[in-house]
Amino acid sequence: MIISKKIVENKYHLLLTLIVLCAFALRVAWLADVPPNSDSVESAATAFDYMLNGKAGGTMWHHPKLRNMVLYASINTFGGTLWGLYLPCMVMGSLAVALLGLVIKRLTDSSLAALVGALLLALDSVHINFSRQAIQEVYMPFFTLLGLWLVLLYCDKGRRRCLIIAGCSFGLGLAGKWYVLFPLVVTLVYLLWLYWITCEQRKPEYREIIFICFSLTLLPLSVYLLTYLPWILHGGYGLSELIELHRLMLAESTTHQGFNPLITENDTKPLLWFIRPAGFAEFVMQGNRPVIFVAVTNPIVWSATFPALFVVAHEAFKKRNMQLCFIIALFVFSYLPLVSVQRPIWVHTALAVIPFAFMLVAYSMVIFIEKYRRGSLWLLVYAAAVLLTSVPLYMLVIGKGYNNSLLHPIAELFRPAVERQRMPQS
Amino acid sequence: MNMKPESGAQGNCFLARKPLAIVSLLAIPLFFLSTLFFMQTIGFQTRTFIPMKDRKIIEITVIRSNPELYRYWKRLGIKGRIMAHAGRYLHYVSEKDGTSGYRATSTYPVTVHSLKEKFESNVNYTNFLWVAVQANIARSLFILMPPDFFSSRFNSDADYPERRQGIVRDHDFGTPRIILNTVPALKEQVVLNIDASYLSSPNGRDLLDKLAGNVLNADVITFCLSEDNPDVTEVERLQAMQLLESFAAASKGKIRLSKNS
Repeated sequence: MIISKKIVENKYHLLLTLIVLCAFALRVAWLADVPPNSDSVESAATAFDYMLNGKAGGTMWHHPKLRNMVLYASINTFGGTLWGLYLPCMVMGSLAVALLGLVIKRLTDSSLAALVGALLLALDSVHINFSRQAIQEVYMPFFTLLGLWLVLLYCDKGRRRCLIIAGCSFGLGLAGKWYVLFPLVVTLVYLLWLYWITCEQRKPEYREIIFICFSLTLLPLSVYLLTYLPWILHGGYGLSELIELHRLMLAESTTHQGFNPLITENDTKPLLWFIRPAGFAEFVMQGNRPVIFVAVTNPIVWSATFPALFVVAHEAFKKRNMQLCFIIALFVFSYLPLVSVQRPIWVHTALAVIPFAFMLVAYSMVIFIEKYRRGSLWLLVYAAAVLLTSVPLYMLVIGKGYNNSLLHPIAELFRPAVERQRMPQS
Repeated sequence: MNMKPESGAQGNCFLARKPLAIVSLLAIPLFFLSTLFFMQTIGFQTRTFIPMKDRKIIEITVIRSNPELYRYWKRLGIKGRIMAHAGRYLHYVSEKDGTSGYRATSTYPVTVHSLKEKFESNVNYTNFLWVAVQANIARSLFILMPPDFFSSRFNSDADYPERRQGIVRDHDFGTPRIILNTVPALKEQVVLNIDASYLSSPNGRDLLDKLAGNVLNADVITFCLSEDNPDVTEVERLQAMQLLESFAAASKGKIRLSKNS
């Protein structure tokens, strides 16, 4: 076998660490070359307004408020520098890569799948793009994967404090974006089902069941509520008004069309995310020239999701494997609610789904290697293709694609239609 | 389908653990209930209520202009209150950069500075209710409009389905702003401002009757002559003042007028 299983197993932690360091480097590199983007700047203002004034308004007001707390702390610690604005997201983005590897390893018992999954997330242009901003998108995969890993530790080692910390992690994830609710519910159901299956030979311990339920319901909810302390403290609001605020936030979330009319020109259909490349573009002015950032999904990776889903589902059914069913459920129940929503959903919301998509793709690679004689050679070819396609996608993400003659046509695809009409016809 | 956990561990914790103690089990729900109690209490304690010297007397402070009214609220230290404003206008024009009370620069190092002083130095008849919300004086607003003015303003506005029942529900990034054509029944004490534009309308007398009848419970009541508002005429101010003075005189001491010192 070209890829030595022994080397991968023995050097697993070293290789994972290297992937995480690369992920961090990709998220930091060339960031100082451009001014901060408008979303990050307005998030900074909103963070101060929330923490010092208790105002729920400002940018992206319909999302929960953890971003404001994290950004306020970060700017107060590191100042208004690049690190103050972006370090939390860079760190969370990089650690999510490590956590994805750890979760895949625990669920599939395959170091190779763990490393492949981690590499896919490390190189993903959408994840890199939003790890280089101050907004809350990368909070979703980080806190969800942290919660998952801790739940799995609880299952392995029986440490109840791991489940408690997992509950807190899910609570913080919910306080970043509500989409974390879907994997949280799936995890709770999985844990209860696992308990039932494991204890079917003996009398179930109801206190343990109640403890599991409390840890993954009341505890995340408590942590979530506590993130509204500045709003309550400064405004004099009560719990009934907090419920009313959430009703208004939910109404906005279900009808939100973006704050900029041009933003709806970006890809907004979750159904197509794993079928064809989707993108998200924005720009920042540097002097009198725009710098265009374009995050395009890697078709070699994202389009492998649905085939991988079927491969893993077949494997799960054949081997009666609960963990694989859990991975499938995480993907399906995180993805389907987004597909069913009527309003535009931009591709950055896919960060709530791609950890599970990459779990499927990574594990399907391992199945492929084990099944076919030259499987590991094909895996290397695939990895090389992923690396090669990631290079131009990375250049587009960091704003260096627009001035490149080969990548310029791709960046131009994201020019707003009204701008295209104004351009002189060549 | 008979599913079993694969190796890698899953499920070992359930087989060998000691049962959880009841005390430990109750820790999480106790934490949750404490969180609810703590947040409700801390919100309530933030609200400042002004002690009334005599609960049987309704004290109304006469204020000349809207900026003076705002400064009066600030001097009293009012915070986190439900505010009721009776008048023809909304006084809710936000600043041009009014999505946030702070502004950040767009180059490194990003500096964030408060706009509160700027808002307060620019307070006027068009925006004083908006500034009151930004300053956390008001946590929600009830704006009482004369019925005929309410109808002419909102009857053709399809964005508000309840307008035909005399209510328009709006919000400012989660701060409720409710516009009505009748006096609302509110359990909590409010900060009430009566604008000259309301008292000079045919419904002015009705409002004063309701006030005297304790329909609206308020610890801080002001009457603003709106001398800075060009949409309120001198005749309307005179009418409003005369109505208030005659009502106070006829109330046998129940309603007392005072000037803002």
